[in-house]
Amino acid sequence: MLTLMIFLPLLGFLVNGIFGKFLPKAISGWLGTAAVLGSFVIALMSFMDLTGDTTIPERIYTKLFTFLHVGNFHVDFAFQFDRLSAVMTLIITGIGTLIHLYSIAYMHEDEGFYKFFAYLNLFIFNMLVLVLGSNYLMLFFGWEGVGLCSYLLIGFWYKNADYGKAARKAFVMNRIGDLGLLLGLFLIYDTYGSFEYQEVFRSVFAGSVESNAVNTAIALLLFIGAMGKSAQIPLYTWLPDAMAGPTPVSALIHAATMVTAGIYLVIRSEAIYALSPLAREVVMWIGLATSLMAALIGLKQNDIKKVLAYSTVSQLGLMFIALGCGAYTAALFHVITHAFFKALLFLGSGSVIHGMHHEQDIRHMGGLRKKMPITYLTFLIGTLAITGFPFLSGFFSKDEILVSAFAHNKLVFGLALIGAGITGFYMFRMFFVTFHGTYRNTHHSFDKVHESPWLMTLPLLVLAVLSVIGGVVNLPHYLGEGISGILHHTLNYDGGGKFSPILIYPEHAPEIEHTTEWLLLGMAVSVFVIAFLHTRNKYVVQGAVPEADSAQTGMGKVLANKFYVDEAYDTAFVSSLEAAGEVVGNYVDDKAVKGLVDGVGSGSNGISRLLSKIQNGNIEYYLVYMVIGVALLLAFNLF
Amino acid sequence: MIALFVTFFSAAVLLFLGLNKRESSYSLFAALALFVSAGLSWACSANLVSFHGLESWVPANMMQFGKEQHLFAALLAFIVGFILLMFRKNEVIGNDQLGLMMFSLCGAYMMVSYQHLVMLFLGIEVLSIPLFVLAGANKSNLASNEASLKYFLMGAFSTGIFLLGTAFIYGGTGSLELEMMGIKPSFMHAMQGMPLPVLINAGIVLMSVGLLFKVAAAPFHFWAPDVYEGSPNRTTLYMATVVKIAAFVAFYRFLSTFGGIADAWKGWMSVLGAITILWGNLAALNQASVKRTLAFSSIAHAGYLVMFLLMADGTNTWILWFYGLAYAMASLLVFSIANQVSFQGERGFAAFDGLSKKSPVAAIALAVGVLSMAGIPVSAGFNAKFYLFSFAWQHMPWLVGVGLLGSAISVGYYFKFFKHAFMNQPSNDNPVVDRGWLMLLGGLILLLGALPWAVLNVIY
Amino acid sequence: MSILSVFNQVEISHYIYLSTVLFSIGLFGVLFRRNAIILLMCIELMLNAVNLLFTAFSSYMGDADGQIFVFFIMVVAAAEAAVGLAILVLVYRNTRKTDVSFLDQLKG
Repeated sequence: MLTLMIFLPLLGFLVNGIFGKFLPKAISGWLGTAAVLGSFVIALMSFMDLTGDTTIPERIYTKLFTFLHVGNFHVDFAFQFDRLSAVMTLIITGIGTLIHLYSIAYMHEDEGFYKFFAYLNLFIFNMLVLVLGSNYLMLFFGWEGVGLCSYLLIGFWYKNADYGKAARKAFVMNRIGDLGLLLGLFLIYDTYGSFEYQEVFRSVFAGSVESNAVNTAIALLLFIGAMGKSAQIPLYTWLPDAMAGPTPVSALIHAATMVTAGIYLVIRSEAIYALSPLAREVVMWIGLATSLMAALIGLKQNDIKKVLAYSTVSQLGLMFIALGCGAYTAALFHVITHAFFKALLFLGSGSVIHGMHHEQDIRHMGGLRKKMPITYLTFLIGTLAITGFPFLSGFFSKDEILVSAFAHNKLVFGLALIGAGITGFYMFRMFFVTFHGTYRNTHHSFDKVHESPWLMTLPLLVLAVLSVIGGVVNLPHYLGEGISGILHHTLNYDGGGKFSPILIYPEHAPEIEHTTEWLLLGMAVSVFVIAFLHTRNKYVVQGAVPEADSAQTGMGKVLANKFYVDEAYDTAFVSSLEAAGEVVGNYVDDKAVKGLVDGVGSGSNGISRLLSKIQNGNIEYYLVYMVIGVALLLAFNLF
Repeated sequence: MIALFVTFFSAAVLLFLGLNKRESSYSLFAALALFVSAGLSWACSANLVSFHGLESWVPANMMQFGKEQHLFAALLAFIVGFILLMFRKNEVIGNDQLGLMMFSLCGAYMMVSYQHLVMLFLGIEVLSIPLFVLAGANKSNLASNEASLKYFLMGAFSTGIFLLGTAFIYGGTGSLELEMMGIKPSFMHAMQGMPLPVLINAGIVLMSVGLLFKVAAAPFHFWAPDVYEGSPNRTTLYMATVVKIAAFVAFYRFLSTFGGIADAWKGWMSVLGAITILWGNLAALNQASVKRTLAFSSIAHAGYLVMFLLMADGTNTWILWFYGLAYAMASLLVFSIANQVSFQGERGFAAFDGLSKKSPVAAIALAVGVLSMAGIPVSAGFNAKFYLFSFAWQHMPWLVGVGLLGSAISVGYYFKFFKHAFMNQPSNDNPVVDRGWLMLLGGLILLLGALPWAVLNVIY
Repeated sequence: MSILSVFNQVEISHYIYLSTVLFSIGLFGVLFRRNAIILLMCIELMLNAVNLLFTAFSSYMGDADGQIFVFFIMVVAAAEAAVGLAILVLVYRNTRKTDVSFLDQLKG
C-alpha cells in the first residue's frame, strides 16, 4: 500500500510524460489529478490505521531493495510511514489534489499542458520520497528531486528570459543549501554509523556521542540545508523570484509543500537538535530575522504574488522561531494551517490574475469584489486566517508559536509579535487595494473581468473551509483539556509506553499561567485590530492607492482629515514601519544579501577569468608551471 | 589477458585489411572485437571461463590479471567499443586510426595489470604514443596540429620526470617489482623514527607527478584543455575516459604499494586534489567552448578521484570502477550529442540551442548525462560520487567538503547545457541521428542511478 | 681489474649527482629553448640521464632489471622521437615554423 501510495504519482508522471502528447488535454489533466487523489486516499486510510489501531506499531515500514552494502556500510531503499510522515503526506497529497484540479482550468490554454501535469506529478512523487523515506539518504533523494522539479516548473514558461533566470537562481541557491545538508549527512554517518532515522536517533538518545559539539555541527549543517529549501536568510532571495512560474506551482511548491521540507527536516532530526541548545538558538534568531525582514519588505511590494511570496518567507521564519524554541508541535501546526491558507491565497491570487487577464500589479486592480464574489470571499477568509483573526486556523497556530516564544525569550516574543502585526498591514493592504475601491486598470475594461470557472473556485471553497476550521487539529489547552492538542498527542504519543514517540524528547507545554496566556492572546488580537483598522481606513475609506503615498502629506489634507488619531498613528508608528520596510527592501535585501550572494557568484567568475588568463596557450609557460609544481612538491617533501 | 590478445590481434588484422580505406564497417568490426574482449574479460572475472594457458605466457612478476584487472579491462574495452560505435556515422575514419586507438587501449590494459615498473612504463608509452598521433588526426586542421604537438612535448617531458622517479625508486628500494618495492620503506616505517630515504621520497613524488600529468590533475593539467579542444571529438572522449581511468588504476596500484608509508604522501596529495577540484570547476565557469568546459569538468573529476587515491589500501577499487563507468557513460552521452549538433564547427554552447524542440529524446538524454556529471540523484553520477565521498570521508573529511563545494560550483556551468537545450530557440538545424544509442545510455545511467547495488552485484 | 670494478670504485652518490645534473641541464634546456627540435633533444638528454642512473644502480646492486629497463627506455625514446618528428613536420608544413611559442591558438 505504502509503495502504491508513493508510486502512483510516478506512474502519472510516466504516463503523462510518455503518452501525454497523444492524449487530449482533459484526460491528461484528470489523469494527473487522479494519481494524486489516489495517493491521498491511501494516505488517509493508512493514517486511520496508524492512529486508530494501537496494535499497529509506531510505523509502517517497507523496504524495496538494498541501495548499498559494503562492509558495515549499509543503506536501504526503504520507506516508513509514521505519524509525522503521515501528517506531511496528507498535506502534500490533499492540497496537491486540489491544486491539480485547479490547474486543469488554470492551465487549459497552455500548449505544454501535459508536460505541466507530468512535472507536477513528478514533484509530488519526489516530495513523498522526501517525507516517507526511512533514512537521510532517501530524504536527500527527495530533496534533490523536488529541487529539480521546482526548477522545471519555475522555468515552465520559458519563453521569457526572466523565468529562466529565476529558475537558475532557485537551482543554484538550493545547491548551496544542499552542500550543507550533504556535509551534515556525512557527519551523521561518520558519527552514528547509519543513515536510518531509527538507528541514528536511538544512538543519539543513548548518548553514544560524548561531545555535543558534533551534534551542534550536524544540526547547523542540516539547518543550512533547511535554509536553502525553506528560504531563510541569506538563501531566501530565490523564492520571490520563483514567482515567475505558473501560479498553481507557487501555491503547491513555494507555499504549501516544498518550502516546508526544511521544517520537516528539523522536526525529524529533533533528537539531534534537542542536544544542541546553540543550534536551536541559531535556528530561532535566523527565523526571527527572516520573519521580520520579509514582512517589512512585503509592505512595499505591489505585485500580488510577490507580496504572498514575502509573506511565505516571513511565515516560514515564524515556523523556525517555533523550532528554535523547541515547540515542534507548534511549528508543524503552523505548517498545516499555513498550507491551507497560503495555498488558498495563492490560488485566489491566481484566480484574480486569471480574471484580470494576467495582470499582477495590485495598483491596476481594485473593486474586484463585485465581479469575483467567490474569489473575494475566499480571499477574505485566507487573509483573515493569515493575519490571525480570532478562531480561524492561523490564529491558533500563530498564537501557539507566540506563546512558546514568550515562554522561551520575551524579546523574541516581542519581535515576533511585531512581525505578526506587520503581516496584518501588508495583507490587508493588498486585500483592500485589490478588491475594494475603484477599478484602476486602463488595459482591460471592467466588464471583461470575470469570475473563474468552477474547477478553480471549488478548490478555493474547500481550502477556505479548511482555513476556517483547520485549527481543530491542535486546539490550545486553555479552551479545555478534553478537545485540545490532537497534533501534540500525535507527535508525543508513545502507544502507552510500547514504543518511542516521534519526538524522542517529549515536549512540555510552556509553563505559563492561563491569565498570561489570555493576555498574550489579547495582544495578538489587538495588533490584528490595529492593522485592520489602519489599512481599512487608508485604502478603503480614504481610497488611497499605493503610488499616491507621497501625495498624502499636503497640509490641507491633514487638516481636512477627520481621523486625527489615525494620522498620528500613521506618522508615529506606521510610516516609520513603512520607512523601515523601504530601507530593508532597498538596502538590506538588495545590497547586502543579494550583494553577498551575487558577490560569491561574481567572485568565482573573477577567479574563473584569472584562471583562463593563466591558461594562455603558450606551452613554455605550461612547462614552467609544471616545473614549479615539481619543485614545490620536492621542496615540501625533502626539506 | 584475453582482452589484450583479442584487442591486439584484431587491431593488427584491421591494419592489414585495407590500408587507408575508409569504410564504416571497419568501425563495426573493431567495436565488435572490443565488445568480445570486454565480454571475455568479464567472463574471466566471474570465473566463467579461464585462459590459463594464455596467461602463463607472461611471467607473473610482469603482469597479472586477477578479478579486478579483468573487470577494468572489460570496462575500458566496453567504453572504447561504444566510442567507435557512436561516432561511426559522423565521420568515417581510416582503419589506421581505428588500429591506433586499439593499440593504445592495449597500453591501458597494461597499466591496469602491471606488476613491474617496466610494464607500467611500457603501458603508459603504448597508451600515449598512438594518442599523440590521434590528437593530430585532422592533419589539415591547425588546432589539431597544435594539440598534437603540445600533447607530445609535454607528454615526453612528463615521461622524463616519471622515469627519473622510477630510477630513484629503483635505487632506493632495490627493486622494480610492485610486490618487492613497498617492503623496504614499510619496514623502515615500522622502525620508529627512521626517516624515509631521500631517494624513495623523491621517487614517489616524481613518479606521482608523471601519473598526475596523465590524469590531468593540477598543477600538471595545463595540457588537457588545449589538447582536448584541438583533438577530434572521438580522441578527446578517449582521453577523458579511458586514459583517465587507466591512469588512476595504475596510480592506485602504485600508491597501494606504499600504503605503509601513506603519511608521507597523503598530505600533499590531498592538497593537490583540492586544488584540482577548485581549479577545474572554477575555470569551467567562464568557458565559451563546449569542449573546453567538458575538459575542465574532466579535470575536476580527476580532482574528485584523488580522494580515491587517498584510500589506497587495495580494497576499494570497485568505487573507481563504478565512478569510471558512470563518468564514461555520461561523457559518451554528452560528447556524442555535442558532436552531432556542432557538426558545422560551432564550438560554443549555441550548438545546443533549442535541442528540446528539434529532438526531445536527445534533449532529455543530454539532461540525464549532465545531471549525472553534476552528481544529482537519481543518476549513476550521484551514486558514484556518493560512494566515493562517503568512503573518503573517513580518510580526509575536509577534502570531501571541498569536493562538495566543487560540485556545488559545477552546477553553474552544467546549467548552461540546460539553458541552451531547453530555453533557447533553435539556431541551427543539425539533426541528432543516433537516438537509439542515446536512449540506451540514458536508460543505463538512470538504471545505475536507481538500482546501483543490484547492478554492481551482478557485474562486480 | 675489470671494467665493472672500475665503475664501482666511484661512489654511487656521484652517479646520482651526475645524472641529476644532466637531467637538470636537459630540463632547463626544455624550459629556455623555443625550437621544438631542440626541445626534443633536451628531452632525450633527460632520458639519457635516467638511463645512466639506471645503469649505475643496476651495476651496484648486481640486479639486471635496471639495465633491461634502459633498453626499453631507448626503444620507447626512439619511437617517441619518430612520432614527434612526424608531428613536427606536419606542423611545419602548415605554419612554416618550428618555434613552439607561436602555438597559442588554443587557450583560455
